[in-house]
Amino acid sequence: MMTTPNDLDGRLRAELIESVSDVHADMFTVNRLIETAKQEVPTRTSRRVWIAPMLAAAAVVAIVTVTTAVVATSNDADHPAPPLHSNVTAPVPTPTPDPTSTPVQAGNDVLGPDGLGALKLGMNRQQAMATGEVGEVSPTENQCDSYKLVGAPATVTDGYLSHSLGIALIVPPANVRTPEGIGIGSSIADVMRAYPGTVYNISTRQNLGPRVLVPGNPNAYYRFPDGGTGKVTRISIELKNQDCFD
Amino acid sequence: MNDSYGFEQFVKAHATELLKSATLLAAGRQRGEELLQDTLTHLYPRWESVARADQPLAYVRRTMVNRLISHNRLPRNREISLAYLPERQSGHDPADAVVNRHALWQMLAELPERQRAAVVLRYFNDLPDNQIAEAIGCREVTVRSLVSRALAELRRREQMASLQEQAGS
Repeated sequence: MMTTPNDLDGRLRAELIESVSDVHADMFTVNRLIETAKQEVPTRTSRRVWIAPMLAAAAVVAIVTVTTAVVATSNDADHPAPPLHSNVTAPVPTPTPDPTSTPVQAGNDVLGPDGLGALKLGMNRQQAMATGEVGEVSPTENQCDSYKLVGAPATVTDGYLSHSLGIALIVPPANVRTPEGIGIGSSIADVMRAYPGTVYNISTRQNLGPRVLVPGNPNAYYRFPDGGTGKVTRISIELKNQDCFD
Repeated sequence: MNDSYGFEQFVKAHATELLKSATLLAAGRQRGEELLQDTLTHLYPRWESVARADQPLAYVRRTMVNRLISHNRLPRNREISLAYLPERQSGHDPADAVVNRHALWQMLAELPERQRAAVVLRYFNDLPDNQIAEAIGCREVTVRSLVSRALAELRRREQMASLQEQAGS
């Protein structure tokens, strides 16, 4: 292999340029950047709501990271980890059944608490295939495969099947809701009402959104990204210790 | 807020350029887009002063680096960045070049943010050390130290990788 250390400079330059040569902001991306920036003028209230859960999320992610030993070499002298004070520990999970709403029976149009219909989080590949719910499976560049749900429209985001943990993420079709009634179009306020005390991460960033504990399943999170709109644009359920994405 | 200071025009004109920088700085396409969105969202309410800056593009890039370094306190995920890497364009080298580049990406992704920012600003944006220092918020001598530590680490890993390869073949 032609890796003489001395040409590292030149190779770095060339490879950095090459590696983003196909990064292109199309009109869709440009418009989203502009519109989201304009929508999200932060108010004092939303800031306050945002920061505490982020600290909590940092603590949780730190713990998860440590326990799953994804910790990298620690030459991080100039990147100190967030301090883990006791006052930033995550809120205690409180599975609070809302007296006003009756949880729906788990079926193919209900996501959670352990999966979607016959497909359950943690199923290995064989078990998952045997449910008949899993269609095409494609490898990714990490230790997870992505899979399509049988019969789901092409617009539905793929789920993840971890090589070591099994079904790690389920993204259901658009009509599916959680037993607590949260689905696409619910407001973030609805999410906070449905899962009081369990909202971990309200992000103002694209694609991220509140991640909440799943009532009745201590090993899972729901994720409700809102794309910065304040309305849930996708729902999903994932293993807490999933090793497919952050 | 109205758009009399040309926020939209600016984003339309420079989105791809900024997205490339952001993708490298955040070591991944998805995270890059998030970083750029976060930066633009932060700057929009103060766009008047951005527009008045000598070099608005440099201002935005500086803010991006700043937000990467000061906000990205969450432990970095080392797998996801690879999953979001842009595909290599065809017509080039066979597989081992891809492996090489992914190895380099992986290494870059694992560098501390300040080191990665210094490498990207120097080798991709071709900025002189004084401007890198300004963007990162440190002294010039620190920039040189960040870059040389990053390069040393990249070299070390490449050597390890090539040793492992020799041992394996």
